[in-house]
Amino acid sequence: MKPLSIRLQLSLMMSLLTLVIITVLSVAAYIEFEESLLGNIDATLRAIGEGLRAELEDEEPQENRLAELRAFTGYGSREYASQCRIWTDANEVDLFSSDPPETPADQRFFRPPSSEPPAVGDFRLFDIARDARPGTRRPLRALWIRYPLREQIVNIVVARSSYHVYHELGEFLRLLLVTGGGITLIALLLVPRIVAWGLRPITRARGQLEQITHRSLGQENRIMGDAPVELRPFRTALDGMLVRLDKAMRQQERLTADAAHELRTPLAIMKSTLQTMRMQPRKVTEYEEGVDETLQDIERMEQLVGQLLTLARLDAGDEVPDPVEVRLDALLESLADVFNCRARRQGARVICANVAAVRVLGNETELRQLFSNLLDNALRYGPPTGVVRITLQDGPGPWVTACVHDEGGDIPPDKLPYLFDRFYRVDPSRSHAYGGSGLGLAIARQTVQRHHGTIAITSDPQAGTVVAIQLPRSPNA
Amino acid sequence: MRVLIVEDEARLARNVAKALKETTSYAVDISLDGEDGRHQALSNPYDLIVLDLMLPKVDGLEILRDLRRHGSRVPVLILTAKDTTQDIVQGLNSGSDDYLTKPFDMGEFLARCKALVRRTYDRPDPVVSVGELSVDTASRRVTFRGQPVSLRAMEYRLLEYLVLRTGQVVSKEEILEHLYDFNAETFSNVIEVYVSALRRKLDAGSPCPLIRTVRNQGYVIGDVPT
Repeated sequence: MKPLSIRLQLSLMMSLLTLVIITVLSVAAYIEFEESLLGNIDATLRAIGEGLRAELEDEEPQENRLAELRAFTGYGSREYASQCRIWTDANEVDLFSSDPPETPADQRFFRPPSSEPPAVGDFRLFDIARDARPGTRRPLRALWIRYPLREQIVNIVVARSSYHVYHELGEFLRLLLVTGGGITLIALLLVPRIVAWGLRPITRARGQLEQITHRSLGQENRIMGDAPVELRPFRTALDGMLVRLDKAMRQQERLTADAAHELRTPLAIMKSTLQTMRMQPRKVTEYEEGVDETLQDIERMEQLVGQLLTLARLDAGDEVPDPVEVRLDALLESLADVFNCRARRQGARVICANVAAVRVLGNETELRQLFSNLLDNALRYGPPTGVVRITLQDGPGPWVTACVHDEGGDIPPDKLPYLFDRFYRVDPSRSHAYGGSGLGLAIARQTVQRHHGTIAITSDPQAGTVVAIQLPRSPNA
Repeated sequence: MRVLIVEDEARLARNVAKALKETTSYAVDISLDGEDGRHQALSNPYDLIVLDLMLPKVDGLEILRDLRRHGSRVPVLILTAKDTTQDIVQGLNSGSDDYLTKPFDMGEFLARCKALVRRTYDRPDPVVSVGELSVDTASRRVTFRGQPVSLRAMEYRLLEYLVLRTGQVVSKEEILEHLYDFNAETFSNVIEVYVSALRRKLDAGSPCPLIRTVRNQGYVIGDVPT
């Protein structure tokens, strides 16, 4: 399911809340109003009831009493008249009724109440014809008092029209519905706007994010400068991400530029060689020379492209795909033999000293390539007639340490940290006098990292240059 | 004309020098690192410097700025693998006159070199005419009174230099400095030998010689403004 937008969720919640509050308030107001209206009638009824009771208890001639009772209930005046009926439990005939005497029995206002009578000495309030349809009978509020008088149980029922109560309640309900509905409607219209206003920082941030391109990553386009407290961690995280992205992007750009430069130079040489040859007819030996030179340049490019591909492949995966146990001592000794042959031609030597028998987990081809690279560097950049020493020791801790040592030591200390950068050469001209592409150590570091190891270089005019590689010892050893 | 190439790729420098010598008959010096390049550029009166940017010891742009700081007006063509717009703008703003990125076309490179040299001598038209003599510096063809004249390389080199400086008295020292690279072995009267060869081929027996000798000063082609 697609998640609802924050704006919609907040709008719905706020509208719902408004609706609930209005409903609760309306119901409370309605009940309060009803109670107060009925309370008024009830108070009147009880006053009349008490009056009638007092009147009945009075020892007076019958004639006067009737007139008194009638006066009490407002008999004759249509507006404020209360209806009244007084009878005893023993006698069906009314002691008093506010209906005119000529009214037929079944049309009298009060028939004996069908509801349960109150206990003797108590009273009960009830409604008559409350739900009557308008126009038929008017609703009444009634009070039924039952009490003993001169060895008889006297019943007094007084009733007053409650029509105005229900009429006013109805009016009030309509008012509540109209105002409540109106408020809810306005809320529904306004809430989304309010929510949108509240979400402005997010909208602004989106706009700012849309402005960011790969070129403006590193610029001080710090987004959401005015972010509210809630968004600040988000902003900080985003800023961090932009900085990291920018760094990665710059690195990538530099690498591409460097690779382009490295590829262009041999191309430029080849093109110039061939074009110069073609400018005028030449002797066969000149052509042969040109072709040989071009072939050398092609070889250099091949080597470079190969190394770039190696790096790209190493970049693609962080782990050695199928590590096997490699006898590092055997590998180094065989490499020493191979490189010793080459070294002798230039008057140098490669010797293997203090080689402990250790095994590591890894890819033999990659490890062989790694150490070939280091030996190649040592012969290339060390003194031409020096000694290159290989050592391999078991330790420290879970590591095995392999060192390639040459007697050169002319790498300036400030350049050491950059040696593993791609295309980095100690001499900024990137001269090809010594050969080499500037990728060897970058590949070496990548390979060592894939084997979960570390690589470090120290260089000192007295002690020479040492490349130390630590790899984790094989767990099966 | 004398050109300096500052380029650390020896093979590329050699190819460029060869092409320049063969198609333009310029004298060419090569410098393989920045330090030597700067020294050469500051101590010899070159007519053009071809400059790589990423050089050992001293960066190309630094050489360029040093040259301009010393008031040198020599045209400089930057020849580099740095090809971003930013690099080109920076190179031109540092005082270079042209910028060519590697790999480049040799024909284009040579044409740009010739154009820069023409501008130095305020001769935008590659064909220079003095009286009945016409020298096409682009194709190195010389005609006199409508007839093509065949010249040897050094003879042409001398004639081109004199013609480009028509109306100016050119001293022997200037000629030596501009026509020979530092490897060339010169002897004291070499200029006289070539001048007389030119006179023989161009205006033998003319009562009003094309190339005139100004005593103790040098040679001149055309009228000297008074």
